[in-house]
Amino acid sequence: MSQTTRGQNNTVIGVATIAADLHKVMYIAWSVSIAAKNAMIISAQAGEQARSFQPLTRFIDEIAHTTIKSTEKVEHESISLTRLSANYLRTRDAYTRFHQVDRIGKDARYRHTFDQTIDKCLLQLQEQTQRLHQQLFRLNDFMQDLDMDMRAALAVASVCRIEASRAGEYRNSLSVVADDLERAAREIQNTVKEGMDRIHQLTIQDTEFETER
Amino acid sequence: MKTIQLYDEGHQWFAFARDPEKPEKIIDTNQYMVIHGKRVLLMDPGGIEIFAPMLGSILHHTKIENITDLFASHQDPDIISSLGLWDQTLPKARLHSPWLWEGFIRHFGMDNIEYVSIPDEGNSLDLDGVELQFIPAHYLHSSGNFHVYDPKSKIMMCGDVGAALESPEADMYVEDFDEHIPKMKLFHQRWMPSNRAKNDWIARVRKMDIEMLCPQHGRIFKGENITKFLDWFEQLEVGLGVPK
Ligand SMILES: [Fe+2]
Ligand SMILES: [Fe+2]
Repeated sequence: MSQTTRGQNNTVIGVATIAADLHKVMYIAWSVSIAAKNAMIISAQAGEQARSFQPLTRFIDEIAHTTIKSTEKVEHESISLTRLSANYLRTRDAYTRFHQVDRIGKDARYRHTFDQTIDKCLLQLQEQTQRLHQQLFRLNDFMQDLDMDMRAALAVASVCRIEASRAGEYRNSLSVVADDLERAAREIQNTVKEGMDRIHQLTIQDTEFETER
Repeated sequence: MKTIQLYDEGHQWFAFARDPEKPEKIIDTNQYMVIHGKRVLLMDPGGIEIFAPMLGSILHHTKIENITDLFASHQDPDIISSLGLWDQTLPKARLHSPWLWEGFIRHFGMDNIEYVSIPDEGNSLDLDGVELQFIPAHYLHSSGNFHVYDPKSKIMMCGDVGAALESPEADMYVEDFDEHIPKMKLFHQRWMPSNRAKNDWIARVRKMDIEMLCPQHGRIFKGENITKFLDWFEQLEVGLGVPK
């Protein structure tokens, strides 16, 4: 029983933490977007000296916006995932307690009249487990896409650094933009990695539960 | 969990209590059941923790589909926090409970069971010809609170009134009333908030024909111990949580 309780708590905390991670990603992406807008202003001031830097700033802003938009959508989904995991936990708890009824009432004359309830609960649990897995897989796919986007952002950051070095007196301020972008991309990558690890742990736990039955 | 049959003449009364597997820190509770043919009423079916032993015990006496009615005297967790589990077990059942607590009790999880509100003045349930009366007991201790009286068996299920804090091995019936007082005193002084409500209840109950007074905690009162309890409760000042 205590094992089940611990597993249940992990699922709740895991799902809630993933939602918090996504929120963090969005926050970082916003800061990138602001940095990109600053860079736009600087490169506009720099004029000819930062000519090749200008399209990069638009590109950075685009990356930031895409990240914000897709994360927003997934964050929304993660809220429904939290609800789903709460329902799943309720069913799982019920299933455990129904088994206790079965054990305690094993000699009871009318124990068989309870079979249908247990079967129904098991079916519900299987359905919810499947849906939980599906949603976790989708979340994992999204995290992978986000990781790819951040790799692209890191490549852009290197190009930015090269272009900044050619921007004469604007060199330093444009290098800062490249640094900001790189730092943000790495931070998002780390958050994504943590999120994926968490999803992986949740998935393993549920698989264990399936074999337990 | 111990099962005690209280009555068996046409319909049956059972008490379930003293669960040996109960976690130590949760208060021991008495649950009651009336069976009449293919209709069963569970009274104060209890908390989540005792759901399994409770249902495991019930299945010795009746089929699951016969449990048509539940009653919750008030909203406390030791009374009805098992509701979410009963809701999955008895999707067609009805829960009779004070109108006051509907919005609160539903927090325990209720998607299937029907909530049947009991009005403040009380009413009764017809269990296939057996009349069970819901007797108002507001502020004893909950602000919306009922007891169940069966005029045929003369049994009254009286919720937290008459409750005692007992050891898990304690007997089911009060033998020596004076010895029982210390186990009830603090409970009534602290959990019962209103002397007026208490005296009103006592006056009404004195006029009723009762052979067994069955609280939700502790021991059952029979015969002269019922009068002794009413006398003792009458002189007891309650609502002592606030210093004078
Ligand atoms: Fe209570
Ligand atoms: Fe109680």
